Amino acid sequence: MISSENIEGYFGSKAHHDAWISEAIWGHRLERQSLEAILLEFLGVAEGMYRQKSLLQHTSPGQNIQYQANQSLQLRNLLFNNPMMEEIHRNSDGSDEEAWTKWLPEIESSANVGKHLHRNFEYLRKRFERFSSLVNVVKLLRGISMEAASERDWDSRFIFPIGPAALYEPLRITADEVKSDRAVFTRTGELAYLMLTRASEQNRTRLRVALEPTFNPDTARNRLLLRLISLPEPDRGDTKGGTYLPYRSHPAYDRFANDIASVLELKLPEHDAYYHLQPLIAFHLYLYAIETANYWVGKNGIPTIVCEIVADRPDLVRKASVNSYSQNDALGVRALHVLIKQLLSDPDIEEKLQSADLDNEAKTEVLFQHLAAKCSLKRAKVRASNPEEFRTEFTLFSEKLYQDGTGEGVKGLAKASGLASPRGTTRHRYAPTDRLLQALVLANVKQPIEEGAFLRLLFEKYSLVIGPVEASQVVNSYLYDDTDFKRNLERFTQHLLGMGFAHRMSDSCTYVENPTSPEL
Amino acid sequence: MSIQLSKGEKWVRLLRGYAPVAENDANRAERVDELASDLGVPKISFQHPAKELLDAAFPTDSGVFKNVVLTGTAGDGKTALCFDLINDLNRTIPNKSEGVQTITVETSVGLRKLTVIFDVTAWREKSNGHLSPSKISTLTRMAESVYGFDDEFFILAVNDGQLHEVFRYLPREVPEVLRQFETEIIKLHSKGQKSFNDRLRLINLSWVSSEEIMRLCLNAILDRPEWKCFQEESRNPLFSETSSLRRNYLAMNQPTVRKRLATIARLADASDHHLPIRGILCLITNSLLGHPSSSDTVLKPGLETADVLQLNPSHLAGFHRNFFGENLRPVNRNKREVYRFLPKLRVGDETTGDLDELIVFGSRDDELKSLYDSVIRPDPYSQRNPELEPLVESYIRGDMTEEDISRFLSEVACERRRLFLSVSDKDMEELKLWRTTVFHHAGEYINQILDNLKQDRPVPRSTILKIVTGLNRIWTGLLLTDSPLDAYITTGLDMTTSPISDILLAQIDIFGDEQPGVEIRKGSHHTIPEFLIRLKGKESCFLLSLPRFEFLCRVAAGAMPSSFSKECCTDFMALKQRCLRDLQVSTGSRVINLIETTEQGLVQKTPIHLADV
Repeated sequence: MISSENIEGYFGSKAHHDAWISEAIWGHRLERQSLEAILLEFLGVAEGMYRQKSLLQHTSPGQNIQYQANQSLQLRNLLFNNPMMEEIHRNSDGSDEEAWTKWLPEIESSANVGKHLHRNFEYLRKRFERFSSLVNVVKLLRGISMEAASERDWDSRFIFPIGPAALYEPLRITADEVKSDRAVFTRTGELAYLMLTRASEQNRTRLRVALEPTFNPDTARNRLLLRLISLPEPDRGDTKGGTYLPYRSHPAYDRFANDIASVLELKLPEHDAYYHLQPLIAFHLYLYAIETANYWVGKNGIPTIVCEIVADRPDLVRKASVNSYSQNDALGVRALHVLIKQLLSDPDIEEKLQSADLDNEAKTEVLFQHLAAKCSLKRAKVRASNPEEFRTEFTLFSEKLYQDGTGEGVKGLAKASGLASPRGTTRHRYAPTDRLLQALVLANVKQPIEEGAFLRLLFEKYSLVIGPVEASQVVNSYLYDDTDFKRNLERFTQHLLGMGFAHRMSDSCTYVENPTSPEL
Repeated sequence: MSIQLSKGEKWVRLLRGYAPVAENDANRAERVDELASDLGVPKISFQHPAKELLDAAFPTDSGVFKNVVLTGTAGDGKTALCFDLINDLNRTIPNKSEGVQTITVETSVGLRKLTVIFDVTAWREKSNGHLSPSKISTLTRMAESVYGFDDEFFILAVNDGQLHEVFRYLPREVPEVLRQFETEIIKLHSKGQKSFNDRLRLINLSWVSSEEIMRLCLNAILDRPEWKCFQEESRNPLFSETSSLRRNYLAMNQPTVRKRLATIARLADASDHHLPIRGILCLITNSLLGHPSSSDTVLKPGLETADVLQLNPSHLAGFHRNFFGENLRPVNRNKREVYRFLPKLRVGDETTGDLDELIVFGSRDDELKSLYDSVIRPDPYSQRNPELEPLVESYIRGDMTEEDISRFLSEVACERRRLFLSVSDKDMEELKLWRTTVFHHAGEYINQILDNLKQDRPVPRSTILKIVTGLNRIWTGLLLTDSPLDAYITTGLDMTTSPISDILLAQIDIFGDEQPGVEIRKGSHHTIPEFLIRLKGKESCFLLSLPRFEFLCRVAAGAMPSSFSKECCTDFMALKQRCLRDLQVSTGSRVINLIETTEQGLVQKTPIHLADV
């Protein structure tokens, strides 16, 4: 997996990076990003590729995948930068003329539509018979705002992706310029897309067939969005790219692709599939992150994930779950150390560092130059007076860079996917939410499957441990108690039964079933 | 040992064989036969409700046999059914020591070979982690018979869990026909289907109604002539007038009580929780014989019992306490599925103002006194705790310690349970006793839905309206009227499962002129009825289980769906997704109709055009 044949270097400039360390292991980049933003970024790049007629074409790590994202600025101004509309409507006492006359100058003075569009909203007057109809549409669309509780500026607020026109990128808009905001779309959604482009041809075809209809601009809901945009298509920004996924092949790619395709193939009504895709994408990104780290530390596959189905009281399952989360959380730093060791072990450099001709300052400079070439380390980032100190400082700097960036991102993925939580305790542990469990059933169950077989599947495919059979194989004896794991399994069953995702035949047999499967 | 026992004591010894004690002999059918034979007392027996079904697969007049897979919960009577069949077809005594027996059956068209696999316990012995070659060969022959034309037939009697276990331990390389058989049988089992072709039938004993089993078991135990021991052996403390066994027997023998017990079994069915024969026999025998002061918490013939009965007040072993397993030690109780089910009903655990007022103030309040005297006071079999009255007295005076309060609350809950099991149907309604359980609307579910469907009568409009009210509120997220004319199928602009789904997709006239838009009908292979929604020739239906009905009623009464139960809410959202798919409704391409509610909960539509004016 981490052999040089399977890894290709980054195609772009690393000038803007303090150092290229986590990126070399996990890609550019995994960073903290909300569940909603991951889905929107993922769909956004997929929609861009769909327009370029290259949706889910195979990619390689050395390739710069570029696309133009929608900006839909008029739509966004109307939804999130239009505070006076309802008040003007209320005060106009039903007079359309008065409302239009007051509102149009108001929006035209406050809106910011970038350089390519004019601040002219007259087109709306022609499209809506009455001002109240416009107000109704705006209210309706505001009703599907995502992350409504967040305090983001209007240029980084989203609505549910009911059509391609709603798949726009977050922006930083000032009087002078309109720029993509990489603090909201951190590339994690783009990384998810790249993972899928490296899945098998069969899985990519399945995904393409299932995704294409969602990008059709001629659906009823997209037409509703387009009524608020003056042009026949949404306005778009400059071409963007630069996201990097190091591995040509990875077990995560097909595992992820298969699950996403399975959920989309259920053909759930309207956009219901997105509800399940959100936790699934985050879950698979998390698995990719810890599995990759596991390979770097010399092991294979996904490390064990012991899950507590939340209990009222602490027991050994909780301890095992906390322990398993902590161990997997530490894998990132361990992987980083392996990479640092690789970076620093170079015979030429060693020879120079042993040389009596160079003083400490010169040796430190040699080390810096080596790392600057190898991982784009910037001069001001690590300061030391001798090589030994430099090594230590570089390691500390790398760890901090990881903890603040990818490390935070990976923790965020575990939490956002619903896999990890500190519920009822002070420490994080694996305690999957009902929503994640539902998504896993939808992704894996077509025909009813006996619960034991389902648990085996979860274990073999994702290393998830819930019941005593799997736990007895992998959980340390001092953290294993048969009764506690049986109770954990019973809670799991009860959750599935309560949600209508299982059917109990008798005390010895429960079928897990997917109530939305056409084959049920 | 049996020589020293009296007739009554032998009968009690036999009953203990079914009770939740260590030497529970009913765990295996063959052991019951041995016990009954040792004691010289016929075992508890009745014709199994599935016997006719099994017999029908082996008609000797036509010789057109079927292969049968007989599944169910452990203790559902599979082995006993197989033994009876072997006896009936071959007039031989079954060979109980082996798990498999092959017999030859004479039919009008010639001889048929029948292999009955009635016990796969021995199959656990594996060779290299797989079933042994001889077992694989037997299964393969069965598979070949299912898909072939042989005159050899099979019965495979296994628990639901064992069914999967048997196939799980097949090696990778087995004949294709066996894999085909595995796929088909698991499919039939999981989907509740009964047959795949003319040569295979699945009989799942979990489909047999628990209510019917309860009635049969009650009759089989309470109507036995051995109970004359109460007259003939009244000097034996076990059968004396003050014995808890005698009092419990008399209490349980009341028609109202028998009916109530059958109703509880009916609730189990309605909650999709099958009670097997063994579980019900355990429940009944423990209700009769349970005593918390007895060494293993169940009375036994002998000297110890005389002391237990003499030294402890009989109310401690009251039938209403034993029935819920109060006499059992937690470990013993939790081992048995039936006692894991009963607490889920939470009988007596929920407080109800009117009933509690009657229990506490009934004997002191002139207005309540006559009702108290007719319903609460009667206790002909001394089941009530005599300490309840002093506790009530202290409660009224406000003179209680923390410990007293906890004891008082526990005894009031117990009194609610006594009343729940013993009062008439009329008093059950008047005192709103269903409200002391988790299923406040169980009475309505039974009377208005199950009873009417059983007698091929339609479910009353008021019940349908209540269901539709709940459904409208859950599926739209809006507080719609409680007297709807229509069922509203809606979606959110984002998802169909959006908490507020205010885009109207279809409006279904509940009672319709030509055909009702919604209907409750008998379940096709289930004791649980189905709720059906029709739209333009298309149908969607879901099982209307008691928990689902309760959720709908609570929401119809004003509860917020997601705060009342997140799990139920998720369940109904999945049902909604299926319903939309089955009815094939989606948003219009030109106009969407937004719905809002008026103050009266009526629907107001606002059209929103998708195209420009």
